[in-house]
Amino acid sequence: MDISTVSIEIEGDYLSSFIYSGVLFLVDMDFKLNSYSWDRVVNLALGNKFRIGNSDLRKYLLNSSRNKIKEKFNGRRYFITKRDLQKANERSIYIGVWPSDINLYRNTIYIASEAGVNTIHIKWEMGNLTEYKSNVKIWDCPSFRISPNSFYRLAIASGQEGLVTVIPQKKYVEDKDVKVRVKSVCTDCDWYKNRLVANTVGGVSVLDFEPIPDIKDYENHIEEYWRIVNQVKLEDPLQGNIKKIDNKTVVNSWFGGNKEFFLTEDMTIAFRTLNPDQQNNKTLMYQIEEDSIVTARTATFGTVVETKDTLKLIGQENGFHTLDNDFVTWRVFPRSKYYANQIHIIKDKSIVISAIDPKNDNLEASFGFSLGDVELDKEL
Amino acid sequence: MKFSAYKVNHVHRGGLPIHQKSQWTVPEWDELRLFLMGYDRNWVDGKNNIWNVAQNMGAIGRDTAGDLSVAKYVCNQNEWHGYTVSPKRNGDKPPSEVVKTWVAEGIIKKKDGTNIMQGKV
Repeated sequence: MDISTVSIEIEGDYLSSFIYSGVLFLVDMDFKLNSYSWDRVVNLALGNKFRIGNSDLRKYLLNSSRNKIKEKFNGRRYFITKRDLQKANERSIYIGVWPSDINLYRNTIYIASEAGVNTIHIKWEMGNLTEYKSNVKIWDCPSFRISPNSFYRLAIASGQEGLVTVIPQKKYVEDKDVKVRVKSVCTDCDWYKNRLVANTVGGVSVLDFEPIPDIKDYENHIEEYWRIVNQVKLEDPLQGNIKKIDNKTVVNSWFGGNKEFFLTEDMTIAFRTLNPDQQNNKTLMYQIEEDSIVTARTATFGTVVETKDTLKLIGQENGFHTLDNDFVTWRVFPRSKYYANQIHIIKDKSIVISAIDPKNDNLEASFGFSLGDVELDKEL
Repeated sequence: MKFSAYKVNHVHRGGLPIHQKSQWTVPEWDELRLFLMGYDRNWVDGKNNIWNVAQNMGAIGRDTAGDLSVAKYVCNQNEWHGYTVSPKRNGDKPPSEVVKTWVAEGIIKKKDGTNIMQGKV
């Protein structure tokens, strides 16, 4: 498949990364969570911002999801030393763990580790992170993956404990807000809109939650709105299993934009559109010639598949692109308004942040998605 | 941490089928050596379990899905025994500081440490 990329490589020994509303978060080997102004990181990477073309490139890197990379920039990679990166540093906090997952939603950082899940509230002023506020534990069993949703709801893939949801009725999480939904060893989950999938040793479970009403429909009845919201939050989801798709056994599932993705036992990636009109849902498939797949996730530019030694990008049905074969870990940001076309690849002594555009525009039939099809987080 | 004995648990050495219990694939002396090293280095979690890992993620055990490289040792009435685990399939993992040490000392690669913490192996 044909793609365009622009990358920034930052020197340093990192364990985890996240990007959110103009702030790049990096966890280093000393278990410190550092935040950096993405704007300043981009300026450091590009150097002289008055150089011809740099303003286009800068604009692109700051909000790459809505723009297309110009051909003349394709393949460029910029470097920032560890020392220079300090010029963009905003705040640091010691988190004390090697995070298995980090996520950020509505000014709350969620950190999953063997110690459970902690939340850190952050304060913003003029687009900058100015303070890490309270660090509060909301779950205390080993956790692997987290998936936040609206109204401070959170799904936790909590290993031996199974799939856990945290659905607070008030500002602070109470014991009654925490429920084990699937009692099977679970190390992966994904929650998009009203559907939550749990990838467990017992198979793929799906939980369909009652939709939370839109506040616009209750303009003059705010009390009534919140009464209904709290009622809906108490309702148990409909639970089932995804066993087969087109007669292939499903072993893993996740979401990308408005599409539901599946990995099947024979190493096929399949997707169908999340559409109320299920009859028109066509399933597209791509079989990967590998013995096993470690994990996969989807960004606008396609589906990234991790095998034992390689990161492959599946775009259309007719081929793949090798993204990297010397990586430690990686992540994409399918729920982000500005960074849905970024991939962060952590290596032994650096992190490479790439913005990728597919050259084929037939996104409907692609293993990526179009931002226009997705209800995105407003972020702030 | 109390200690009166280490016992090789037969359920992890053919006493029970592999679909019920993971099985060691290295000799008892290696099982014990990994335990003593973990004990000596204080590679302990919050519940006083001891952890160790095979050099370069080599195989020291097996379950129905494949080879296992991480060992966990638990204590029952001062008597210890150990077994091999898969963070992915057992949903359990060693403490962050312990895995950091394994990486820093070159026992395993950073990627292996990440895979353990993220439950990918």
